[in-house]
Amino acid sequence: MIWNRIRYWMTQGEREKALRAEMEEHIAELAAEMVAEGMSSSEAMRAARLRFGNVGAAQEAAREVWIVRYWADFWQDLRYGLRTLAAQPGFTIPAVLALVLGIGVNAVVFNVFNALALAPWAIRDPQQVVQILGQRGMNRWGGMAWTQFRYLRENSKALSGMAGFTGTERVQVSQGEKPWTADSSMVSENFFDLIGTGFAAGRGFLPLAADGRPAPEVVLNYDTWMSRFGGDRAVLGSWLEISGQKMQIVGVAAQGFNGPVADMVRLWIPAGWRDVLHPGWDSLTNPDFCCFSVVARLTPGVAKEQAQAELQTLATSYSASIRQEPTRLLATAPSFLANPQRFKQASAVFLAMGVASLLILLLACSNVANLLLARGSARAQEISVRLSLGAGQGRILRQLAIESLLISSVAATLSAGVSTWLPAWTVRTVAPPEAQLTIRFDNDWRVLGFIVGLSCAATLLFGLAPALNSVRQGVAMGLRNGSRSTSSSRLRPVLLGAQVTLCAVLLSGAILLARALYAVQSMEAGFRYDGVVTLSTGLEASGLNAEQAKVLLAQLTERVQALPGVESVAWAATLPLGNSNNAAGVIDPRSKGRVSIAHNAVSANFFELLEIPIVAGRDFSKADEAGSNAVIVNQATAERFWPGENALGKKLDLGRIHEVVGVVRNFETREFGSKQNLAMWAPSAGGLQERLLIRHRGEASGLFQELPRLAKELDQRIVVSAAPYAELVSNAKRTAKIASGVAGVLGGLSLLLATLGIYGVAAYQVAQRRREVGVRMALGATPASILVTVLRQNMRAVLWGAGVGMVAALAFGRLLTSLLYGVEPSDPFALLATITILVGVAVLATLGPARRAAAVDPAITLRDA
Amino acid sequence: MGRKPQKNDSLPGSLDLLILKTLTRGKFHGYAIMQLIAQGSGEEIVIEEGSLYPALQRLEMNGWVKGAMGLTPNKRRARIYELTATGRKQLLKETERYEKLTLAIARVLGQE
Repeated sequence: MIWNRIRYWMTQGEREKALRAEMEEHIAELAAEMVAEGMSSSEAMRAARLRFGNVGAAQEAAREVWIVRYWADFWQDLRYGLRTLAAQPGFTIPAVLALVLGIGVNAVVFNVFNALALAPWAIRDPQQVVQILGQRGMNRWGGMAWTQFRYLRENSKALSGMAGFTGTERVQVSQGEKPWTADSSMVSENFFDLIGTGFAAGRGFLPLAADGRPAPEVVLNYDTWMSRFGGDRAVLGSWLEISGQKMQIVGVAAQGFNGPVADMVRLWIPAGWRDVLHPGWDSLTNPDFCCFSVVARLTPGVAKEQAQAELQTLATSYSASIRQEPTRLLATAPSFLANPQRFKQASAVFLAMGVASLLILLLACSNVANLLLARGSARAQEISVRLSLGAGQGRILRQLAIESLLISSVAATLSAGVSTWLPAWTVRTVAPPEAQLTIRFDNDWRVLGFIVGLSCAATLLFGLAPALNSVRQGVAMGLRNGSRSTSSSRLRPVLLGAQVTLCAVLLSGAILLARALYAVQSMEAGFRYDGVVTLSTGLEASGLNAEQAKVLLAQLTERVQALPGVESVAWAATLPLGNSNNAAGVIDPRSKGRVSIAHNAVSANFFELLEIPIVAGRDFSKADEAGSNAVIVNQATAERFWPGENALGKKLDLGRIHEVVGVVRNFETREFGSKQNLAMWAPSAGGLQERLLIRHRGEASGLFQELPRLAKELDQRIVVSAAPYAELVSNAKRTAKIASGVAGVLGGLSLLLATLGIYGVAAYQVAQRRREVGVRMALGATPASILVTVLRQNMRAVLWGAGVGMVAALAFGRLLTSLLYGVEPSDPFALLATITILVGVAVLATLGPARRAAAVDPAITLRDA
Repeated sequence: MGRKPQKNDSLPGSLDLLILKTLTRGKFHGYAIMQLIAQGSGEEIVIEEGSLYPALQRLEMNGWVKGAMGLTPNKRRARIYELTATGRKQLLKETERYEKLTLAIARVLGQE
């Protein structure tokens, strides 16, 4: 029947025409007959039409056979469904909430994945746009040198345009008054033409001048324009001093535009100025420079693969011209995770989150199925009445299906709200304010499609079996005249077991991550950071050269040293646990291969200030700062390079030869978990990057007021930002904290869902077996034995579920490996705790209904039932 | 699927039955079916055109008849209907039901 109807819908137009032709033919034959009987042809036609009646009405009636009835019934079912659901809030609200949780969690995970991996950047006609990555090392993909970019842009035919840009870089901006620092992106002059999303005011950059230099121009971010310049159009054409260079504001990017960069970009500057703003840099001429990201527009009709092949050929001939190994290029989609390296890092997280959220959806579905089953038994009476009044089983099934669909569409709508709101809220509240992310979490068609598809799948999952069961029960009830049916008792233990399994997996994952959180919280940095204030000088963006910076830093250090409460001041190019470090290539003395080692330049008193013990050899001296080849390594390096030997006096080949003069105890360098990484320290007399470490006595609040004032007195170009070191360390723990926090919430929710599920099953079973319990009690069973019977019945399913759950949990634990700091995925504590909690919860959830069953007076049950 | 009572259905299902029965004699288009029923009943039963076509649609939807464009005996283009295998079974069922019904009615009438 259904197929006939679908076929009818598909061929409706044709069919209508055929029907109309058929009727016209009928009329013509009638008329012909009348003519034969002696009527004139025009009269006959009229008479025939009269006899046939209204063709349109007949056609309508014929069509009704197929359609109207069906839709009328549909609306009736819909209204009936709405009424039923509204009348039973005790069923509807928990069901909707469980589904919002299940679908919502999935929608959030998918939305974030979509924003990072699937949704293209805000670029005009993104389907013609590719991002071009250059390979840097084994599985690392990044940007390319400016020289290579220029070569490709000039010679490519497959690409109609190609723009380069850098990630955010600090610059100092002033307009006569006190300078402020701003994150800028250095872009090729055609950047805005290629992106093509327009301007809120003004224009983009002028083409390069004849000498190949860009004009001194900047384009402002819309938000910056609003907050710094009050959205005043008069700033167009005015001049700013940017890291010592005069540049003119020529445009304001469209509202909300941030370019293909995750961090907030305050202003855009033509890339040709990069080395001018940073004296001593050679990023525009150095063929080894890594970091210009490239987006390009395909020439119409050219496929991505063709473009990649052409670029590869060009890159090879370019590399040959400068006698360099050719880099491999990759033309890929314009999204953040299209970079295979980033995708690999992120996919582990998304896989774990995706599996966890699907499990939660399954758990939610089984809960709703449970509710539906319980309700189905209650409705068996109603269904059997409808069946005996002549409703078809199909009609009843459809009615139940519509109710399920109503529930899940309400849940889907709410989930769509959650899916945009939650990620945005999390980014706002959890991300550090200095790292303002600009990724948007809109529900685009992909997210909405995902939510709709998932809701439909969920509806089938939770609705189908209970609906079939209800109809069966209704039929059985009609036959048996009100006696209790037990046909759902086969489905329920399976549901119960499945719930326990799902919960076991989620709970063990949550416990693992909670343990990882605990491990991170108690992680030792390996140095003493309390009582230390860090200070960055902003000199790297000031336009000064290294020599000038060195002098200023020395003066600043002297003055800070003189402040009351300050014990000592040291400096370092990068801060331990500051989430950044410089890496250098060093020849491994054993394998003779080149390996990467964390490299830091520090003042002579750095180790002393952070109380990092020297385990062998000596510390740096003031004399080393002035220039020496002395380096200090950590124990991990000494053990790896010279196992069983004395590292002191050994040589390290970093292009220049260094000599190891000391070994320090291992401590965390870049981030937590980097203690065992290779690391070395060279003496430094200060420079552009160097940050100050200030150890003080007592409260630091006075320092935070003193430092900016002192810096301003010394030189306008020093822009200090000071923070307690402890803050940096807690930031370093943040990722792990967030992951564990999310896991804790998910684990708690899944435990709640499972508890409710187990309770629901137990309560229902007991209610169903009231008569049986009454009979048993009347025959002499004790309350205790009743309790045991009910418990035993559920425990079998629970233990089965827990057993299967343990195996699945082990598999899930492996998925989480990359998120677990200092905990094994097969941690026995987590598994044991999961079993204990689950079985405990199951016993408690069963106990209540079981006691109620045992407390029933048999006389009452037998009378009522 | 509830069925709408048709105007001509003095007895439920009789129109369907008549059409199905007529189609056991061959493939016909709507006009011919009407003519044949009228002739066969000695002009006693005249089917209103307004009910014939909805009935044909219904029968086709149920898969009991199959329609296809073709030529009428007068060489005109029209939809020609044909009985399907399930339609044949349905005809047997309907006939049986109808006989039972008429017998029952006859009994009731004969009681007087």
